[in-house]
Amino acid sequence: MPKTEVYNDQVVRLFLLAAAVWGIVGMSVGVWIAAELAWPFWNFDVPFLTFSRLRPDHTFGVIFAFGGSALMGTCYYVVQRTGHTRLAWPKVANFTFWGWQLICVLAMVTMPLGITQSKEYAEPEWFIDILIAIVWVAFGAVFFATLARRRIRHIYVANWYYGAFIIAVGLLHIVNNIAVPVSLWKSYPVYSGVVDAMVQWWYGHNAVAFFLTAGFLGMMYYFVPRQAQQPLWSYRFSIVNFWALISIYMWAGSHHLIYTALPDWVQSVGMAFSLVLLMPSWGSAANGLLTFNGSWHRLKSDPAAKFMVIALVFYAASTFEGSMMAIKTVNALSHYTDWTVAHVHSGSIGWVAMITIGSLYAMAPRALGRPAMHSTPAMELHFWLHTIGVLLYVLAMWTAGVTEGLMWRATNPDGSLTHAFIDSLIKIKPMYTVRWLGGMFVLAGMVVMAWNLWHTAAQARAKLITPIPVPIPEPEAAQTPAPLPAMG
Amino acid sequence: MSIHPLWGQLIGVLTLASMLAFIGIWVWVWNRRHHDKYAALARLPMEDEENQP
Repeated sequence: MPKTEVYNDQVVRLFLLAAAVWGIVGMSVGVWIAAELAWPFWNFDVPFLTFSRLRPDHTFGVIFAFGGSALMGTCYYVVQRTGHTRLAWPKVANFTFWGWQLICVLAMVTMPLGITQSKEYAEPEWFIDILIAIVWVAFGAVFFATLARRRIRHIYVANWYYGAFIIAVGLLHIVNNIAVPVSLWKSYPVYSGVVDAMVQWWYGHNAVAFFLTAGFLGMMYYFVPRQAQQPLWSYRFSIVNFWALISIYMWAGSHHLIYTALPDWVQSVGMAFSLVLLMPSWGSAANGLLTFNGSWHRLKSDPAAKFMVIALVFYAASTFEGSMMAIKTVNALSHYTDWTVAHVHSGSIGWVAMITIGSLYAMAPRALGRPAMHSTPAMELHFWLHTIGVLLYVLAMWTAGVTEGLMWRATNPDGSLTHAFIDSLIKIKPMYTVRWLGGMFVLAGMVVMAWNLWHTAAQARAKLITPIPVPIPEPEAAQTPAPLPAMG
Repeated sequence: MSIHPLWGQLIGVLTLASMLAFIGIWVWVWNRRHHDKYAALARLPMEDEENQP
């Protein structure tokens, strides 16, 4: 019997499941802490339930656990399909799954206990950081080894983005987390003062750039043409945007430190690069949206496509907003207000979560051996729950942010402040309730998705699905590299 | 402490080199010899659906 090389979708399915679970966990924590801000008694005066302890659990849960699992799963799916080859080193790929889940559990358990570096988006302590570095290198090894044995000569653009995401995140993580451990639970960074702040925001902003943008653009460049059933609008444009994006993003981090002790010229560099960054950001958004030309009718019947289109609209909107907020005079109004929170969430639950959900709905039936998701009406319900939730959230936080900015800046003729800080808190309190409600809608949508995925995975759970063969046109003897043995 | 003027010259050279690299990428990707290859690649994601059993 001739050998048939099949795709390794087992590890893809595991990451799919993990993404659904972590999405619910991370967003539940988000809803909880949103409730604490509206009604502070929800922390019950228990230290590990306070906002300060749980907030890192929310950000780590949604970015690294939910987003990371979705990125790694789709990355393994896409690199096989766009290279016409099976995933290299399946045991290492399985190690990356279990390793990443262990990291997520350790981080989510230790941070509420106060075991933290107190660096935003890099809170886990040194022993978890070392585990992250090991698993990340293994992830990169599997990805690049698979690319090396591809049967299509050119590397498809989605893989360029995934590759940049892997290399840059590894670099950022290691440099930002260089620290001296003084015990198992405590370490101190080697950087101090303003250098520490700059390194942290070089990391922090590029976590946005390479984790929350480049990785998800990789997802977009594969799943949007696939779902639209149209060729990518301009492959050439995607290459130009890739090089522009990765070369500009690295220099924009200092816009997080405008009006701080950072040298003024470094702040100006961050502002200038943030403005230029709008071009490649809109380039990719336009490329994705224009790919739907000729396929707009699909939006009537395909909720996954709807998720993708709205994600791209939010990507364009939030990158425009980010560039504007990096202008010093705008930043004077927006900095330290809830406008920043609105911006972050229009990017994260608007762009990142919606492109992820759309891609998971596109990938899940294929990876789970089904012709379609179990319930299209449930997908439709999810779309509307999520869209209403995002809009409630960002509208509430925009309103709160601008209110705060205006009230904090208002002065009397003698130079004294017009409003006490508490006045601004009282003013925005209703907005905090609306924000919580928006979060509840988004979370409800995630529960609907988990239910739908669970039923779609019925055959996979019963081990009844047939592995998908790699399309190899040439006779076996002529294949380069030689086919791998068939495995589930 | 002021920055040495030589840094300004260096930054100017780097800015110019970056601009040339950017224009070079545009020229390279719009080269006609890539047309067929890029057209095929733009369709690659659609194969997954076409190959569905």
